[in-house]
Amino acid sequence: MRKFISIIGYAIGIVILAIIHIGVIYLLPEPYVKLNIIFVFIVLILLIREKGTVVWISFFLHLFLELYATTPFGIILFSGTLSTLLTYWFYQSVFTNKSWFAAMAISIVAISSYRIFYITLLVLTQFVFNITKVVFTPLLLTSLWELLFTTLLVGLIYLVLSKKLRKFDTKVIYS
Amino acid sequence: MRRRNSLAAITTVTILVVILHYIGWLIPVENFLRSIVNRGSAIAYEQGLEINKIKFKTVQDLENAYKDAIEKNIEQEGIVARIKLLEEQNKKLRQELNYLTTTTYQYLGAEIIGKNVDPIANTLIINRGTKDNIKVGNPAIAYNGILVGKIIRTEADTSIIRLLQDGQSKIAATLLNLDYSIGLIEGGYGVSVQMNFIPENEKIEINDQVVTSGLEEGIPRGLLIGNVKAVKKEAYEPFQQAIVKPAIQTNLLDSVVIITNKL
Repeated sequence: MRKFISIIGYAIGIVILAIIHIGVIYLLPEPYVKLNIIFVFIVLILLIREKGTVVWISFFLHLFLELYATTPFGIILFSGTLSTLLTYWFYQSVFTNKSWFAAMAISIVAISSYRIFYITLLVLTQFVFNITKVVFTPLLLTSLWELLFTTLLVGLIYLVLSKKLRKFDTKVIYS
Repeated sequence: MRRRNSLAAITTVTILVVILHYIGWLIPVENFLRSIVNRGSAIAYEQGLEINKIKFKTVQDLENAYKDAIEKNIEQEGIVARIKLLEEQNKKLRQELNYLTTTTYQYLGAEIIGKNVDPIANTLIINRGTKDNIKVGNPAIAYNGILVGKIIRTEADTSIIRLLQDGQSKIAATLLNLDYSIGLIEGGYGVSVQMNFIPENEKIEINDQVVTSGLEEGIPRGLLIGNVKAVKKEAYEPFQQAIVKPAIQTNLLDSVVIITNKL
């Protein structure tokens, strides 16, 4: 029963996040609009829950985005899910300490790997199927803005949360 | 070993979903998911527009805006009078030439329910789709003749518009200068767009208007795109470029009109 309620909770959360991403983020002025709110939440969920469930949350979130995307179906889903898996591994074995800069480093890994997968798949579809035409300069510029604002927001939220949540408090030693 | 297994599981599920999508078996699920998000997104977008509306900080700002509006209105009245006169002349000349009307289009209003799914793209999501006879390539306009973008993806109840500013947007355009220069409007330059492939010998003035050329299938001639703000010209290059400021701020739009097939 508890697991069922938890799944329902996750489902509602995913839908709300998709709505925020599609219907609200555009309110921000340029270039702040390039912020990737989905990855802000994915990184924060990873830091709070510390479980592999985050990969499946990412899968369903990117599936929602894929329904409205202009790129061939699969590019966002594949890059989003795989980059979250990669970030989860990094969190388990490299950035294991609890600090705002570790949170920002995880965010950098998440966004960078997402865009690397995304651009690679986009270029592949351009060569193999000739569906899309990749224009690199704006793509890279937007990716950098996305990386900057997403990382800054993750760091900021982490700082705020570390004051509120005992889990993020580095002074507390768990035995 | 555990890592390899989870990678294999995620990759398999993702590939399976992609295959099911292209086969068409996922359509009912996709439509169901879309219907949930569409409702929430439409409400969120509407509320967002309310917040985003222009607000004046001081009474002086409001007064200045009012004076500007009056000046523009007087200017517009003159233009409208000239257009009416030209329309009359055009009608008479067409009658005299027994001109056959072949460019009648159908117009369909659509509500915007979301924007920019991917931070890299510049898109709008509307609540009309294939059920309303919308097809890929149909132009989207606002305020009775300002081009917003083109339809690039359609589903049963929703469609995606690629805005002029998008990095992959390309529209055949004409400059309203002495030469009626033809070129290609391309996005990917921030809030502005760039008109490329304008022959080097043709003269471009700042504030010249740019309209659709009508050379593209399904896009009528004369839809306003914007005004020239700067010109880039090199003596050794065969073409020059014009930086064009789009005539419309898409973040304040709540609806658009889609031009569908010719009647």
